[in-house]
Amino acid sequence: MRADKGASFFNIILDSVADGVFTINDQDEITSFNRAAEEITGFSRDEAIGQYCFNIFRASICQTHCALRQTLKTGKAIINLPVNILNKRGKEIPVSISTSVLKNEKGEVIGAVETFRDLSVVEELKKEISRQYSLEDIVSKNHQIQEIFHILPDIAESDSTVLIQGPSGSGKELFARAIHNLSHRKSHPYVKVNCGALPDTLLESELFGYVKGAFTDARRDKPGRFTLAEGGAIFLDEIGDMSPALQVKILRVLQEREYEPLGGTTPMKANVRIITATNRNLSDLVKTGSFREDLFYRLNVVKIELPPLSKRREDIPLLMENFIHKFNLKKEKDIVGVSDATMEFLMRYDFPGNVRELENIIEHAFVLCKDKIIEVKHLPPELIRGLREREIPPKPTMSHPLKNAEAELIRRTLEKRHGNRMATARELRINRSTLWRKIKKYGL
Amino acid sequence: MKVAMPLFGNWISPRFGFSPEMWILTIEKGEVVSQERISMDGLALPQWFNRLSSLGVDTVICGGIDGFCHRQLENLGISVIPEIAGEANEALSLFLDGKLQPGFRAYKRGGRERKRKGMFFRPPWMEGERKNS
Repeated sequence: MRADKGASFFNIILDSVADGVFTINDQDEITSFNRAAEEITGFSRDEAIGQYCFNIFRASICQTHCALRQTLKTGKAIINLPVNILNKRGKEIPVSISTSVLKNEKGEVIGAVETFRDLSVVEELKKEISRQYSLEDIVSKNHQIQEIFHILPDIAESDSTVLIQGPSGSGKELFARAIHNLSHRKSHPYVKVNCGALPDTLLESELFGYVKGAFTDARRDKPGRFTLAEGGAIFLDEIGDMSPALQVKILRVLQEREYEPLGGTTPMKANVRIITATNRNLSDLVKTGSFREDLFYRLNVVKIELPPLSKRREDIPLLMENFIHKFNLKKEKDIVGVSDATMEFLMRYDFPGNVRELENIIEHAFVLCKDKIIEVKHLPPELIRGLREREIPPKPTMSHPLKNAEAELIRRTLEKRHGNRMATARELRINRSTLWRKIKKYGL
Repeated sequence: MKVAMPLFGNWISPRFGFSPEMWILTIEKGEVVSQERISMDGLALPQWFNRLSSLGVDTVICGGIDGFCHRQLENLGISVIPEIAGEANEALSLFLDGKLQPGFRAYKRGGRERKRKGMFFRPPWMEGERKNS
């Protein structure tokens, strides 16, 4: 009776702990499983007890470096080891685990105990800050992305210069990071530079560094990003915005694998893989003379072309699910999804800002949504207005329906062509003077 | 048809993508005609998919699998029987008998293991369906 009371009191204590706790016997079978463990893993106590721990916990280390086995073998506790587990719903959960042996009154080892803390929120925030995305962050069913995905390991292993082309917000950096993470350079630095964000002189000193006395404020040597990326990879984003003078210097790094810091006289060797990205069409820039042809061919060794989101609509539901999960963690909400109307609405939207725009739309909805489902009213108003205006045909009045429709068509085309009458007339296939006459007639 | 099972010793690996070995079986008319164990040690995930694809695998029988890997396999036209726990040999015989379902435990008959055989747990997508006895 006393023992029963003790056991039940012990369970009450365990269930009030915020960390997951489970114990195993010497056969690796789970003997107790607290409430937090149920919440984090998704498995109920009934499902877990009696099962082998690796079939429930499913941590990244279960099959190679099981912490409990190690503790049972050495008798030493393990504290705060970061691993990730797979919950019942097939979602990876980052956790930190601690283990210790369990002994009976005689001091004999009867099993082990493991406690684990859910680090999802911490990891999500860390990822947000460091932007250290992994391969699993590439969410797509699209065949074009799948093809890229399957050649990614070969691209990564090749050590060649890579050019990633795609519209803004299409995930160029994600792929650059994935290439680095799959390459033999992954344990070395990955350095990102946005070539469009800095003025020319600043960009040069950022990339190559400077030596003491190179200019008035250069009181000591400063290493450039190429030096910081030594042995690893440098990601040059928006390479199409780089000035011709700097293009020459990058060309030299690519050809001779060396560069000179600002004000320096001794060339430095560069053992760095170069990954570049642009939202512009580099071959067009070559044709107009704003991008060096020789540099283009040097960069264009391996090219990855990312499609806009409007060409991979099948990915919209998946991406939304991902963003909802992310913002639930960040904003401590419990939104389960979007309504059918919202889904239909977003599936028809063109997403000029691509995946980033979808992310922003979901973030906006998270601010307004107080329930569990995101409705159309939670989306940004300009989005709703824009789509409705495009879709709702002009309301014909009973008096002059044809004239009204014509006026509306002209008004919209003018808007689309930013008031350019020549372009509007060309699109409507009417004479410029006819257009002028109609604008006057309808008072547009 | 070709079937692949990620292994953890002689067990089905509890988690896809983390096992050092894969069991590849060629099955014709309900019988295993050839089999081999291949090393997956040190391979990155895309290399896993490339290998399974180049081997012409039609079905993967595995333990836990995350949504990302599940999608990748489906995109390659490989069907997945997930959330299987237990012995690889037992899972194979259940598969050959057409009895293997997602969430099954595959343990040998007899002794302590007998009570373990059957549905391991109901995977989320099967919840609400009639419980398999």
